[in-house]
Amino acid sequence: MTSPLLSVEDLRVHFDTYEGVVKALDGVGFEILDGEMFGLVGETGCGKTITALSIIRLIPENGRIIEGKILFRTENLLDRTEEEMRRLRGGKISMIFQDPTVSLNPVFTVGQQITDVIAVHQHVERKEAAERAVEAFKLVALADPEKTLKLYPHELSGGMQQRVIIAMALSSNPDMLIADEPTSSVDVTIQAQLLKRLLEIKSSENLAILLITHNMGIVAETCDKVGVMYAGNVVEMGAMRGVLKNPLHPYTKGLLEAIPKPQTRAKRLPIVKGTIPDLINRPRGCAFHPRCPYTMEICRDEKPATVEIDQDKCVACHLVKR
Amino acid sequence: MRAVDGVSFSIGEGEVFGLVGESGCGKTTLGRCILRLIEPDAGRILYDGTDLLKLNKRELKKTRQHLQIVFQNPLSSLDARMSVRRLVAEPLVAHGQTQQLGRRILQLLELVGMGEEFAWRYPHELSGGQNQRVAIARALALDPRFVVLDEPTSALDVSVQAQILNLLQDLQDRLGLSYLFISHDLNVVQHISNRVGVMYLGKVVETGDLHEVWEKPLHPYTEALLSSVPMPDPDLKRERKVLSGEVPSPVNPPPGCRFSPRCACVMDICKRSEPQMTEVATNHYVACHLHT
Repeated sequence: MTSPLLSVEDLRVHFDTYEGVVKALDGVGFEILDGEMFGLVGETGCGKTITALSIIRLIPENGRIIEGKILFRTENLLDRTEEEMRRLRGGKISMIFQDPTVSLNPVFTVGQQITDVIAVHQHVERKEAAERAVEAFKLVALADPEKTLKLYPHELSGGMQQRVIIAMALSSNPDMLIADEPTSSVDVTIQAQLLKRLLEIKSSENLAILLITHNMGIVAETCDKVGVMYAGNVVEMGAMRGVLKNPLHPYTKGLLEAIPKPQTRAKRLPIVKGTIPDLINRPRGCAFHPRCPYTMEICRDEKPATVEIDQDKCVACHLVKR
Repeated sequence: MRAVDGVSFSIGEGEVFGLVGESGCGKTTLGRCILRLIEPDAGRILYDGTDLLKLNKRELKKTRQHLQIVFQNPLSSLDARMSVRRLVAEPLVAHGQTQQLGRRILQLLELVGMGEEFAWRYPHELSGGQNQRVAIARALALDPRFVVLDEPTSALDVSVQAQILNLLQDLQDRLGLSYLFISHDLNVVQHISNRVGVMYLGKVVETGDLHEVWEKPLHPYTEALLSSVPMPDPDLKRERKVLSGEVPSPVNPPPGCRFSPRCACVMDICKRSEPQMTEVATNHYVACHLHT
């Protein structure tokens, strides 16, 4: 059994706000192996972005990691100094976000920006960095790399900007890429191109990818494993096929059934009643129990522990026994 | 820039017409033109036989009651300083229909599944889904017959989207409404539409019954679009037609067929002449030299 590249254990993150303490992550745990695409999926407020930001320790100032371990290979990242984390970010672990206009500086050419990143992280002279930049652009299949380097972000389409971001993130040859909704801001045909390329790179570079998305379709087409999050917990996790074809947690089931598909055409969609819970005054017991169609007495009192069903699946639900 | 360039189609009573296409194709502009929120430069918009573009201000105001719109982002389309009550009342007040106003407001809220207690809240106190319900209640206030829905669920989570789609279907059944449902999300469009139109760079390239177009797409762009949509079923075996190249700018569209630079089936004629919409099967129209 190979040891995981990344292992998150019992991660708890709180945020201090005027209304009270938001318990955003309430014991998140999962593992990612080398070269594996792990999809972290869930709806607004489930904590998937905070989980990603916690890994590279970039959570907002009012956030506190109060519990847990984040093991990258054998080292606990929570023990590292800020200086060490800065070398890690954009080094062994890179992250890309949804909106390229936020990540790219509009007053510099994309060439200048990627060259900066390479020069700093790989400790090379600018001339050498510029050459590596061309290679990085070729990796993400950007047409005419030398010409593209001289362009400003606004001169590129959304899809091309996102490729630049990916090129920057991969320029240091990281072991893991964290991608937070990387295709949400591009059209579906461009999304198909980007995901195809990302999968090719994953394969050729043995790159592990933590993909954060709300789109189950993307999960089905790209991920090896998936973790479903709800209100700061991973409620179900396992090999992608197993979770999508045979969901065990009522929330996972509800989520999959609510997606419009050819079979639902012109019919009413089954819905998950209610709304996401207040994370300041979290529900007692299982966070999903107020909305669950199968709630039992124990669900109101006791938070379900994560149970391993077999080698490929875990679920946190009182309905599911070992 | 020709955002919408020579588009023709029709929507029947009680029908849901899905309009799909990617950013820059002109679908949002088209939706707004129908209501004259954007003034078209040329053409006709026939509502029940009357050309809306020929109406004067007073006549337009009267007819506008029948044609309403719901936008994508409720937080930007609802005035943050108005309570739900005032927001829903606004169209009624604007058209002088203030008799039994209080009762009418509650009726409308009930229609969209919201209780009395919501009347006094403000948009920032509501969730995305709740705000969208308010936007829908506003659109229904004047008893319209036709509603343009511009990406009504794109900003919502999957579980909230399901609730709103169900609501839209219920309302359509109950009130006999016609919808122009604009969306880039093909799964949503196929779920709710009777007929569909596909737009690319300002042109409608294919229209037909939903079932027809989805199962037997004629235009290469429609094929590529359909095959690009990720489906949540890992067992689904599909031939992915991944398009090459970028979407060209609508300011400088390519000569001939606008899709020709990216088309896998491109022929010489495609680069020279623009294909016209032709009926290829019953009710199934396509603008493509492969089929004309």
